[in-house]
Amino acid sequence: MNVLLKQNPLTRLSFSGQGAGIVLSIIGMLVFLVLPVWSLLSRSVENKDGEFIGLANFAYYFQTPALLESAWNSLIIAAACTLLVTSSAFLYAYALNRTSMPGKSVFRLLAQLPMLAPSMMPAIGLIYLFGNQGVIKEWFPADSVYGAGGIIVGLSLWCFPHALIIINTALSLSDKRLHEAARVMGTPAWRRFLTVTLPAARYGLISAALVVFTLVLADFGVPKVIGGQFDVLATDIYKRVVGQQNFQMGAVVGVLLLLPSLLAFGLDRFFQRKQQESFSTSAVPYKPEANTTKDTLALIYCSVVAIGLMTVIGMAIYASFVTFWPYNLSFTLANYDFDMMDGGGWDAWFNSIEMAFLTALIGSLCIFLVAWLNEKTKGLKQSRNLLHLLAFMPLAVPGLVLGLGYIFFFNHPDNPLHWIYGTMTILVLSTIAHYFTVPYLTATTALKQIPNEFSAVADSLKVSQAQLFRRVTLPLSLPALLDISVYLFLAAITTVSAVVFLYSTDTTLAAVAILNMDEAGDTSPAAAMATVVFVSATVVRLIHSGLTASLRKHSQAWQLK
Amino acid sequence: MSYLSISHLQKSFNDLLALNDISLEIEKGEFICFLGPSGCGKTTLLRTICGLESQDSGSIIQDSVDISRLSAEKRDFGIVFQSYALFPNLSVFDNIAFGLVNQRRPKQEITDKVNELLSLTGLQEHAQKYPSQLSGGQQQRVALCRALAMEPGLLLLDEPLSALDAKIREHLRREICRIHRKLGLTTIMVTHDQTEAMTMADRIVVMNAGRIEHVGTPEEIYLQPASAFVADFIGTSNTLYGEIKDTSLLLPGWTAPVALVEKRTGGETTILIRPEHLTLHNEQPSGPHAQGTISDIEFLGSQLSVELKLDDHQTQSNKALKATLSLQDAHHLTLTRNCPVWISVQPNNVCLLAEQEASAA
Repeated sequence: MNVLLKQNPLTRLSFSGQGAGIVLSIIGMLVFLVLPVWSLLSRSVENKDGEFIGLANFAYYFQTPALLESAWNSLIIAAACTLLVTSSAFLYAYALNRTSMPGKSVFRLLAQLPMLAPSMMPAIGLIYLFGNQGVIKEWFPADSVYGAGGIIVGLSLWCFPHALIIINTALSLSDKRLHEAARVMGTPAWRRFLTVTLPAARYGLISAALVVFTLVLADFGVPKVIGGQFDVLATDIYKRVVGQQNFQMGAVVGVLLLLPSLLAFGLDRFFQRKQQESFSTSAVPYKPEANTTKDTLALIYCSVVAIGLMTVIGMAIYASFVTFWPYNLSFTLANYDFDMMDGGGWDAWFNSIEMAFLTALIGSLCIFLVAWLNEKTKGLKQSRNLLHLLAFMPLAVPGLVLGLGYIFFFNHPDNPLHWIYGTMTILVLSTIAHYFTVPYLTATTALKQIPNEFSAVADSLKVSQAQLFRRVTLPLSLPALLDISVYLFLAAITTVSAVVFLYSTDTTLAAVAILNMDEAGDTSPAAAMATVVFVSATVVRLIHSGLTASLRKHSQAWQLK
Repeated sequence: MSYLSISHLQKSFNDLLALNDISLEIEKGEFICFLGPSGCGKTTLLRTICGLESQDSGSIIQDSVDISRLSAEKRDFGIVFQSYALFPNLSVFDNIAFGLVNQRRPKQEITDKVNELLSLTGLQEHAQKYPSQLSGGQQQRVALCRALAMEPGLLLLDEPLSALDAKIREHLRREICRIHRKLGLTTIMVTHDQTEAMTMADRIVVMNAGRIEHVGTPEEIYLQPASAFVADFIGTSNTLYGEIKDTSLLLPGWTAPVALVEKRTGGETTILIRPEHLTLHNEQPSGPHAQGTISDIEFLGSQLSVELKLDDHQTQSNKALKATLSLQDAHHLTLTRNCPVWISVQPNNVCLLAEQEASAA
């Protein structure tokens, strides 16, 4: 009774349109995220005939040393990559933010290169550099590139930009006034670093470490290509499901993969909250002073990293144009004759482009709408909190786990959405669900910058919220929408994790084709396909930069200086 | 019946009682200020009047229509926020025309209306600029035009001047008053600045902790504050405790009782004296007075502010009083720190608090 009385009467009035939108969003998140994961969880406690057998599958798993070993391997790889990537990205970000070395914008761009490539590409590049036929194979620090060493280097290269973005943001937020205060008190440089720089960046470092940890655990492109006999959880899950059709064991491995991700996700949320508490909006940005020694060291370090990234990616590109590695190095386009090979041919590339385009288009609209509903509408507080929570969930669910969950959920004959199984639709939807969180945060941040008073003004002017959205909110959010769509496009064109379980012969994707060709021993065509994906991603990225620049020019008149 | 009639509004945010039994009548064409410290509920009351917040109970009747349960877009008001809230991607003209365009009014009518408002606020030459190209004061005038464009029955101003520089604030204050006089539009302004409220309002609603403390003209509120809170919040005042006997008031430290203007029952009471109502003397005056020592003097330009301590031999209390006097008056006196002075007060300048207030205080 009390609850009824307290219910906001205005809320009830505005329920009709926006309330329906929120409820629909929640249903969407349940169907395309929660229920598939739930199917996976329930499948892990069932036997082959679908009977509940408790934790017997898990008991079996832990009693089989060969299986357990891959879990252990995964942890070691993840720990090593986390340490390597976080520290190297921190140094790189430090050089970008705290020194006045030349060429910062070039280094910023070069560091983004791995984001334009599927994770298999750095692994392929490493094989051509350090593999059995590699040009500088004796340079590799470990015995062989095939195994833990290769996986760690490959994944580190691939995760580097992800960590760099986070740490770079954290370092750029540092308050100049603190540094000045420390200086006038006569604090030596090393102590300023320990007492001012590091504390301000520590949550960024933690966040970056957790992101890398999750990415490394969930990626199977690199270990698949370069891992040799070295099994990790991600390759294990693939073998169980695709190789042995052992779905129960696949589900068990999936759960094992989900748990550390959930843990990392929980820790990250915990530290993020702390970060918000300590952040001051009145901070004065730090401006580094010239220091020849420091700047030279920074330049050398960044050059080494950037050249390393370029060499590995460049090697894969180079190898794709070589007739017969390493015996005949003459130029050829034969490796690009995909239609003559297994793996899906040029159709795979067309499919990838179609899938990425649809993901970017539909995903941007859906995600932006969900963020808008959550940020700018009134009432239904509990439902909106639930929606917000659900929007963060994809960050904690590895793509392989989501893909496997989709098999269990949508391939079930009783599911009314069964028809989307094996179509382009399921590829698009799973990719949107998998990459939901980052664009959602981008949209939310952009929307938060739009004053809430606008909606009150619209009310007083008898202008509907939809009109306000069309004439003000949308134009103001266009840059963010562009960012979101290009993020989704790049993610969709390079991903293998969820879609590897979901493609059919009609919907083979370029990234999956790379895997299949590599598995068949066609490494050069795999490198060629990776190059095609890389070039497509680069072109889209350049178009995005052009569009953003012209948008900025167009809106310069009203933009705040 | 009055234009806006608010009765028994009640609203709480979780445990906080934001509006506590608010009742208020506002006449057509009045300029009302809600005045109070931050967190007193003045903004919540404003937002409830326009439907941006909803009350837990109570009713609001505007122009004989019960709007208590109407959502904001169905109510008749224009609003101006402290942050201007102008649409940055629309020109000044388009901002003002925003509501009119949506109603598909004829183009010529829209242009005429917008131009009329622009010339009313002296912004004609800025019509095609974007908000970010204007100064804060200009932006706020655009916001005012936008609120007026739909010819609302009620204009709501939520701390419209608080974000502006002192000079511009004063200028815009007069501007708003001029427009109010010209259009005769019922206006409610929320402010925490007493000068703003005093200079602009026909009537001031002083609020504290979710309740209305006092409603009255600026003069009433200043000279006859209904409570110690009001007296303290509006200007400065000296609070004294005295005893009423028959028609005179005994104040500790004073040589003789002060005659009372109004009749009161006897007993302990709280009285207020404004600093400018205390008269200073270098020699002992005739009539009731007290003696003290100057403890501090501040030069305020046109005025002197003097802090003095009463020499009270009966009680141990060492009550400090504040007195202000014009430079002109000060010329006739010798005032230095630690020098003895005598003070007196006109009986009609002694303000007795309402009896229940006196007992509460």
